[in-house]
Amino acid sequence: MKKSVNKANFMLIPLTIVFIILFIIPFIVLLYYSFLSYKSGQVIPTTPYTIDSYAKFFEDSFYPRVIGRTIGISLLTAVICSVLGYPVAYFISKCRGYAKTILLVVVILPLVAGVMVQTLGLYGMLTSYGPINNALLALGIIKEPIEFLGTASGVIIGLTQGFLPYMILPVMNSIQTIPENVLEAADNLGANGLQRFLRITLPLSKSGVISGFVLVFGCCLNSYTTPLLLGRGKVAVIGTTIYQQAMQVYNWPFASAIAMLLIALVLVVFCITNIAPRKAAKRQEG
Amino acid sequence: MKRKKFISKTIFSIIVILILLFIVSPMIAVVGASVSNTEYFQFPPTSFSLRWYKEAFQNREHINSLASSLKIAVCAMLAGDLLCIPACFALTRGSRKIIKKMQVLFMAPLFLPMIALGVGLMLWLAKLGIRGNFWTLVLAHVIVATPYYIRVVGTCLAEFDYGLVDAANSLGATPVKAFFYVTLPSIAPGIIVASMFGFMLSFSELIITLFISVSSLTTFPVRVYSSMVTEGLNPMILAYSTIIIIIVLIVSVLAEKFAHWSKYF
Amino acid sequence: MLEITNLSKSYKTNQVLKNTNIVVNDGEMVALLGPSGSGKTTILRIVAGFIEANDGDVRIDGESILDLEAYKRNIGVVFQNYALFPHMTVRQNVEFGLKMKKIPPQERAVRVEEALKVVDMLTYAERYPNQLSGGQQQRVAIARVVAIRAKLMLLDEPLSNLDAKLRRQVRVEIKELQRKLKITTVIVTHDQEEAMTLGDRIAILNDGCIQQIGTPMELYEKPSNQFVAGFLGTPSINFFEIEKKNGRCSIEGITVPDSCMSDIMKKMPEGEYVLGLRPEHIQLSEHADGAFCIKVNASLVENLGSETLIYFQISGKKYCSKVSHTIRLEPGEEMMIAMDINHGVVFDKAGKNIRAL
Repeated sequence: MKKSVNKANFMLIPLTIVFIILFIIPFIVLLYYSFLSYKSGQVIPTTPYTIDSYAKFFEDSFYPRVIGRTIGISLLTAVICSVLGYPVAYFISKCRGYAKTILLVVVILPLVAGVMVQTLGLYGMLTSYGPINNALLALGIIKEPIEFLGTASGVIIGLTQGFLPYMILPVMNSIQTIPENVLEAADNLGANGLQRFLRITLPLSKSGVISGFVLVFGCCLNSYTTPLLLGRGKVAVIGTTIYQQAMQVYNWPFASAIAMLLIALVLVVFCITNIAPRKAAKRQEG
Repeated sequence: MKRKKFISKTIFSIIVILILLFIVSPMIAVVGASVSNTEYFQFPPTSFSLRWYKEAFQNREHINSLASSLKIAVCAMLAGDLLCIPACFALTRGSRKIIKKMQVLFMAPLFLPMIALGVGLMLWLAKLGIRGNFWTLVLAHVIVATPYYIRVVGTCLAEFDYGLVDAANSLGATPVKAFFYVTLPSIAPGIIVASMFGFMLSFSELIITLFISVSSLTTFPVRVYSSMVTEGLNPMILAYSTIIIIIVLIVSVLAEKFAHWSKYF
Repeated sequence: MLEITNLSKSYKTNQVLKNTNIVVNDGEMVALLGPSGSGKTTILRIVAGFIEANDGDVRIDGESILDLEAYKRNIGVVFQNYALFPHMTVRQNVEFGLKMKKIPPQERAVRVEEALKVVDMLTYAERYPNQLSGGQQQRVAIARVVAIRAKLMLLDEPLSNLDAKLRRQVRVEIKELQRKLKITTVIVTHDQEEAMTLGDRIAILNDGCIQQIGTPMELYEKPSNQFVAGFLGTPSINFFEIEKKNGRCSIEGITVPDSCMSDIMKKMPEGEYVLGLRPEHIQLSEHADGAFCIKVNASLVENLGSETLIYFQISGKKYCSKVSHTIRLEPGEEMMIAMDINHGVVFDKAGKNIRAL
């Protein structure tokens, strides 16, 4: 037994090497580039290292507003996903057999088909002559077609559609881990359906909701394709700004700096959601 | 009282179904619009035609990118299997301290921005002088798929009863034979599901590929993206996308039937 | 045939096995009995080759096997949860060991049929493990071992996953099977009833050490220490405080008349000891004579049909008497009990049986 434990570790090596070369080092390169100077189309690869790029980010009020806009859109999307996703998760968790597997495949399908296909469909649906506007006009809810594309609202709709599965699955899992007999005990002690839901199911599925929320929020912060295509370049979020700076302006130090700031933001969110609950748990014990 | 419950349950079900429809609506719209006889995106279609499919099969560039995507996806799937599955074994059997750290590393692609990785990869590969290399693209796709491999194969291995390996040993099976006769068959469904994820995630991967592919090595999503950015929504793309949706649907149904992949979510 | 010498095993600071010595003779069934954590499963896993010992040797027919890998040892193991390969049919499961030995297909088929017939599972040959009940799965697990004709068979808690009624039935089947096949067998169990009925001899372990090895009756009637005495027997043995002072003995403060004193009590030196007396050796005094009698109050009476258990107290301590017929007795009622001290075992302060000293 002792021998096999050490042998097992060796199986990690190939993947680790790939990760080091194509995952860890690129991020380090990114960090390095963020400290280089940039002068009109030329990246100067030598000293002096400078924090010009970071400074530039905060000088112009445009860029901090991009972060604000991104966070705002991400929060809104996460909230909407929570509201829409919970009922679906609850519904599916109570299903059995074929119905359940069909619903799960439906939920996973968009993720597997890819963001490009989804964005195509969303784009076509949200145009001013598209089905959504036509339906709303026909129902008399609006007098003129709404411009979804090119606005934040279109982006939010797109992000919600894309990331709802990431909310539904964790919530569903947390609901399913509630032991059946806990719910039976609630019934037995006189709770009606709504009470049982509010006092037992909802609190016990809290962790799933939080996981889903953080996941959706994080994915929205990192998103690029949906804001670009549905926002038609007019909705500037962090992802689109990085792409712009890297592939159109070729200001790589600046792009790297923004990327590092995005990573910092994501890590902060990650730490808050992972360390805070642990500290709270320790406080409860001690 | 029972009537009230029935009504509220029905309303609830309707709301849920509407939300689910919302989730799949873009795919339905794409399929529907692809058979429309118009030069623009029309859903629901008022006139029907298959001409976009005809055009799609004649467009050299797009077909080439499809072929590239397929090639890359198959390689990414195989590479993912060879790299990630042994790693999953190590994660269940290796020393605790190392496992914890490695698990964080391998799940990181889910949390860290892929756009940042894209830029970083592009700069790094340019420095190395190997931009546009086939295998770096494949391995980059493997990195994106790794968290899914870990999750799926990890769950499978966690459920696997290692006592069966002991039993096989006691009956005279060498460790290698025990693996092929006992372990592998039990985790085969998990491997199939993970491989499928590896394939599909590579096929539909856009962001990283945008940064590190070159004109001689474009994938289908990149082609679609470029044409959307430059020409707008060309119905021919809808034809391709519909084919992809159908393939994905068939594969999903098969995966569910033969490997019960819904239990890994 | 199986010799375990000075076997020791420790995990970091915890010593699980301390210098264990056991000899199992050809064709014998020995039970390793003990509470959880006593080290019995560790011995089994070391012999099977799943873990390594820190010290000591294990020999089969004179040859040490510790250097051999588990898959070379040709020892049959029946696991607690049967460990049947879920993706193989019953037939394929039983065939597996033969396949690993590269035995040709025709002979394999013959031996598989043979093994399945022995455990009476031939009609289930094409079923999968998840279609079988617990008892049936266990029989297949045994067939798997029978097929490979191992020299030694190890059973890990074979009855613990079965319900009570099935347990008795399977117990008998295992005993008969082992007699018929004459395989040297070691059974690991925590159930003393299982060990008493299945083992030709029992090795009792506690805390990594062997407490006593002997036939069931030896262990039952002449336990070497208090642990063994207390572990065997249901309900468990009664322990009384006994003191010898000035040539006279007193049990729980009550003086024993000279005529009732047993040989041991007469010969033992002065001091404080513990007297172990089994419930069946405490009867109601109307039905026994010449024994040491005390008047007590019955605190609880359990009527089991063929026998009655009467619980009583002396100076606040609880004891039990097993009477082999039904009795009309109310809780709280006074009764006269007769202790058959000749069958009692005396232990010193360290818990050792003083007869051994």
